[in-house]
Amino acid sequence: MYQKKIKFVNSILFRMSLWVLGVGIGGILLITCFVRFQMRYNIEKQITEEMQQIRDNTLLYIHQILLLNNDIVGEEGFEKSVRAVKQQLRSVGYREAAYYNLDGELLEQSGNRILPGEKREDFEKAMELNSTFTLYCRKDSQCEVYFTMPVEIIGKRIGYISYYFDYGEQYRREWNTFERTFWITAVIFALICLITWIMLWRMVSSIRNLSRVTSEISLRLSEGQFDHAAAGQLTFNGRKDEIGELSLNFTRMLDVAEEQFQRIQDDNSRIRNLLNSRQEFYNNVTHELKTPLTTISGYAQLMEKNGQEDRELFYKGTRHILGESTRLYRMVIQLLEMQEEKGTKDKKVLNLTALIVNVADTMQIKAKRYNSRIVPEGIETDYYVKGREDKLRQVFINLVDNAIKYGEPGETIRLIAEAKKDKVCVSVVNRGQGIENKDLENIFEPFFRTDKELSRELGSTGLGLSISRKIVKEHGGNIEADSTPGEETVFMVSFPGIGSEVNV
Amino acid sequence: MSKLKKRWMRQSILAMSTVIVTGSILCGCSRQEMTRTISLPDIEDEGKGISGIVIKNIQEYTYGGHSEDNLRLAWGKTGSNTAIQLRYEEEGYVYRKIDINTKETISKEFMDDRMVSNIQIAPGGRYVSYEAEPAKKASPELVVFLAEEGEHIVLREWNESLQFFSYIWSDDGTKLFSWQDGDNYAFSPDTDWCVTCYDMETVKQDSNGGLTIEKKEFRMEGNGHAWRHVLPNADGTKVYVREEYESFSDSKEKEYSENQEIKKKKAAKNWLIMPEKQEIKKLQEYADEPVNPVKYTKKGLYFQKEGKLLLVENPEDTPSVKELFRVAGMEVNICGNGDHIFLIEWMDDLQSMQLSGVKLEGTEPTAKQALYKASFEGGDCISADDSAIVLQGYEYLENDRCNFKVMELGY
Repeated sequence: MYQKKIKFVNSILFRMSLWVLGVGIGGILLITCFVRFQMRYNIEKQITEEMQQIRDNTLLYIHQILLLNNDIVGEEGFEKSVRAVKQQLRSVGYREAAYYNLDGELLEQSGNRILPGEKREDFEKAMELNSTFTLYCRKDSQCEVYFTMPVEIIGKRIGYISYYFDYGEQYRREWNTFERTFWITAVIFALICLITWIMLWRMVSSIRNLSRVTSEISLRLSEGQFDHAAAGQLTFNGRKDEIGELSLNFTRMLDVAEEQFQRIQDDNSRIRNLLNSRQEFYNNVTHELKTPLTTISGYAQLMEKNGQEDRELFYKGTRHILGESTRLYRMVIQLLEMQEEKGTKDKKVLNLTALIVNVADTMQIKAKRYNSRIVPEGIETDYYVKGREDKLRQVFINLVDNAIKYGEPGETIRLIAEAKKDKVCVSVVNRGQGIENKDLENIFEPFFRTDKELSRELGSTGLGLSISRKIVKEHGGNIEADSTPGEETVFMVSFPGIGSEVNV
Repeated sequence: MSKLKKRWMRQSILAMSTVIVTGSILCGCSRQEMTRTISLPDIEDEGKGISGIVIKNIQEYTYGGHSEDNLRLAWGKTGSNTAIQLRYEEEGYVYRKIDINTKETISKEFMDDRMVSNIQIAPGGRYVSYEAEPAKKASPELVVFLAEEGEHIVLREWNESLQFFSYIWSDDGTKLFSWQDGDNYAFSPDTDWCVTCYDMETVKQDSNGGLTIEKKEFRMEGNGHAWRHVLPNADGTKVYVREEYESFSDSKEKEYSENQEIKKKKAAKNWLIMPEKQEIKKLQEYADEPVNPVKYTKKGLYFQKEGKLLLVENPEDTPSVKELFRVAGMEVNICGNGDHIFLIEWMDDLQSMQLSGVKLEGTEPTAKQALYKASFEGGDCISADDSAIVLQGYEYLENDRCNFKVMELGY
């Protein structure tokens, strides 16, 4: 729960929402402050201007009255004419007024409102300095102005007048305007916030979707699986913006990653197999090396003990030691051959048909020992390949040798040359016990034998087919085996053909 | 930063947001109490300034009567404390001289029992000029009534009822100048016209016992449909005349046809008439657009153009124009010396008439200053001389009654 909350608080949506909200509220606050300030400024400015006008008018009217009544411009004249002044000012609309002499004593008053001057700041300031008004704005939209002005005619101060004006109506009007502005602004800001939030949500939901998919994919990856189906959950909704582009790129990246992942998997498998086969190879080599050495060592020990007395043992031991050491030597030679890296620079165009005929002739003698015979087929056409004759001869001799050794004695071994598409194929076909299907895929592996005892008896090192495959691969060809146990076994070697008639 | 701190910060942000929301709602739309005390700047600091014109005394006379009774009010001779009233009474139009202190009629003279129009009381109130229609004639005659003598002099008669004449008194109220108006309805505008000067000091009894007056006629060159201005100086010794017209390519020579394209060529002619010398002097033109001459004074000729008041110095020799200030929406009155300019404005939703003054020091105007204000529904300036300005105003009361007021503001 706590983690979820932390995640929510850290989310872009939450933080941006907070920002939008903050900016929105800040904006409203700023506008509100500005409008309030402006409203206050307007009211004050308007009232100031009106008070100035009232002051000017008042002074003008009082001067006129003093002149009309032939009164002296002075405190005495003002006190004398104060009724006329009151009447005049009432007639021009200044109904709520109080008239004071220079000592601040009330001379006359018009209207219902009592204006006790001495307690008001405006009155005190007017007595000390200049015309002053006090503005009282209350919560109930009441707005009152108390205005006190010194009466100065031709530079002579002769009394004071305090006015009362009700600005409630105007204040209410200003407030109504302000309230309307406030709410309209608030609604506009709310709409802006809402729209921004929706846009933000849309944007963030895509990112969240992306995040979820990556999370699922990485989870599966940790289990060693690549879940491409999760990438399908990315919804673009036809978006062509940066988010859409990001999703598209991400999908593309997933495709590439999947491909790479598959490759890595394959490589892993291959490496594993390689490691396994190396281990197996190592085991086989040590085993194959150990077996003759055991024999040699055994006979050597026997010969050391009894060889001088037992001549038969001596000769038998000598023969075994020679045989095993020869096989050991051959095995080492073959192992070295397997490690050899032959380039293609020594390859020459050679007549494969002639080579097959030659191999068949060479191996006829050994075949006769098994009452078998070798029959080359397809030799009426000369097929040419590019390669090293000695190596290719070794391949075919090895295949024919295996066919003789493991085939049914007395059966015919067919050596067929033929062209298939752009390849030249040579098949060695024999009849015999054949190879089980499960063994077919391993027979080219070093030291693999279907019948180890038999093979060893027959003097096999277990490396012949491996070397053959290596040589064929080095010539850009392929070697395959197919067998129906108890019936027929076929080893087919194919090379890239360079034509059937080549002018060598 | 630790997780706890981060968390605390976020919580703080949230809390602050809540406070701001609440605060903005509470502070933003709630009405608050406010008390402000503001001192107004000094009048001098406001930049309003002082015109330099000081009203030294005010005298006024108010007549309350039926709205149709009162024909005109005027002020008597300066210092005489009298007001002049023309009223329609049972016997006809009556001239009354009233003591403004006692409000009593000093003298009462019968003026005329005919229908009269275009009445003007000469400054000082000794003479009244008006147009009256004789009983058996269709065309009017220009009559001057001599109040002190109680006599009439018919200054001139017109044969054609379509002729329109204007006249004006000099500021001292001794000379009357009449001229044929030149607007589009004037009869035969192309014909030459004349300015006639009547000097009231030349009134004498003829052999038949009647009164005669000397008149001097000055023939002016007619030039088509025109607007004419005749402005005498304070004592009537010099009269500025201007004829301003839209020329139809000299209508005297070429016959005017409505189908012809009207050429809007503005043209004007200016003259100076000196009645005593019997001279007419042609003056240089000073404006390239139509203007409205206001007053011919010792300072020069004042005229209005596009809401501004301008002064032509030395109009008689080498006129030079100086722009003074805006007077749009104001009635302009200038004293004979030309150094006191009075402006009448209607304020407070046209409920108050305010008189402001501007003094001309050299050719530089001082600040405009309010001099007088009163609540009137209508009114105007009767005269403005070098020591006083006379205003009249009226306000309607109930039952078709009206208060007519005339004021003399001495400065």
